[in-house]
Amino acid sequence: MWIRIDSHSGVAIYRQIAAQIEQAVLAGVLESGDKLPGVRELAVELAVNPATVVKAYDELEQTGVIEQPRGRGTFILGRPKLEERERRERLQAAAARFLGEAERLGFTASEALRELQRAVAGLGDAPKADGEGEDHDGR
Amino acid sequence: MTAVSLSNLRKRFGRLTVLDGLDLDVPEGSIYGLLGLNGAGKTTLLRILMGFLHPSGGEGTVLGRPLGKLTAADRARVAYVPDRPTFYENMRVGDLLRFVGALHPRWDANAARRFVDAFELPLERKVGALSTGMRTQLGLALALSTQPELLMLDEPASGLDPVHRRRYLQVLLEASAEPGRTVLLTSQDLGLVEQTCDHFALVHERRIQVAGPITEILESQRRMLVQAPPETGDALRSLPGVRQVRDGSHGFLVTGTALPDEVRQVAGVRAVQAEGLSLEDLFWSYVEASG
Repeated sequence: MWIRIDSHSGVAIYRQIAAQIEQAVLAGVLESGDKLPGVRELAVELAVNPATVVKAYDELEQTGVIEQPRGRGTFILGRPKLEERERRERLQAAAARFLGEAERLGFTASEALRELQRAVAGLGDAPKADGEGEDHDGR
Repeated sequence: MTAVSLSNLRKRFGRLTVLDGLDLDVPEGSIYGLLGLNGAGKTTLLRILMGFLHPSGGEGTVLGRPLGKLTAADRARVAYVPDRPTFYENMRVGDLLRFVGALHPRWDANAARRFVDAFELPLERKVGALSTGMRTQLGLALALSTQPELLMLDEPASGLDPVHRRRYLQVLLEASAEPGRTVLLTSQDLGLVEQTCDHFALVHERRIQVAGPITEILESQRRMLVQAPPETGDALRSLPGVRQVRDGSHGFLVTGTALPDEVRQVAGVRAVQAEGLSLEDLFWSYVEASG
């Protein structure tokens, strides 16, 4: 598969696997009914501990992305069904990662926020963004 | 069931105490990574388990047998691959396999053929003419062909290029899934341990500082960027569950089991952002915290 593992990211490896499968479902790369590789097969392919794949699959089962009928394999069910609290927590975690990265790069929180607003306005990497006055930017 | 159990283990070389009060439990079936700086005593520990060295104190069992009382039959259930394995350099790979196979009571010739194929080892080449990567792979192939119940690897995959490394880890993981097989390895490569192992222990200052299931331990701890004035440092350091506090550019970097809400209660703290820990972050937080 197309899963990539980064063992220095601070994100647990099982989360990385689960997140990438979830993203593939959200992007339509994986569809309902598609079969995923077995635990051992995927563990060996990614060169990760099998328990890590078990944990990733269990998490995906809990959020309704996959089903694992006993002895028949692992199949995509559909998009994740997250509780409101879980959705909120994930957004907060993503925000913390973004701000942490900005801080490491030496930007202040308000500079980071401006960059985010620019990205929302679709001007993410335009250097002259300030002068060009799109609706959402530059007050 | 534990494959290895050690309690209050001590090892002295003359006046130098290498291990002191070390406790370790390696669950059967686990892939267990021993971490530690150079000279932390990891190799000494493996050599004690193999019976090459005698402990100066403490006790333990290997595959249920008391330490130091392993018979030849017990030892045949254990395989050890040193950091730099030595072979009969003048033998061809195929002859070496037949030679070891004839000596070892548990040798599986079919398995040996599979590992040789998996690593694409040239049977006709002399061992002395193999590349570093191939030697490392040959060491693993020989060890696995003896069907060990406990496989001990000292710095596996060190010095391998990415292609050989991946293949090596794949073969190791596949062979580790064999029921009843336990793998105990030492490594400086924290990424390798986080990726392939399910348990780990950090050996530092002569004993185990932290040990257990990797995912559980990593998820019970976090690193927090704490915005607070410089004089807050001492209060942060004395907070329960805080192991390490480092001065950052905009405040402090706090590592430990403390929760963000607990850190927010400290007087002077303006903001806390929590992020996950990699095994590497965890390693440094223990090694640096103890100075």
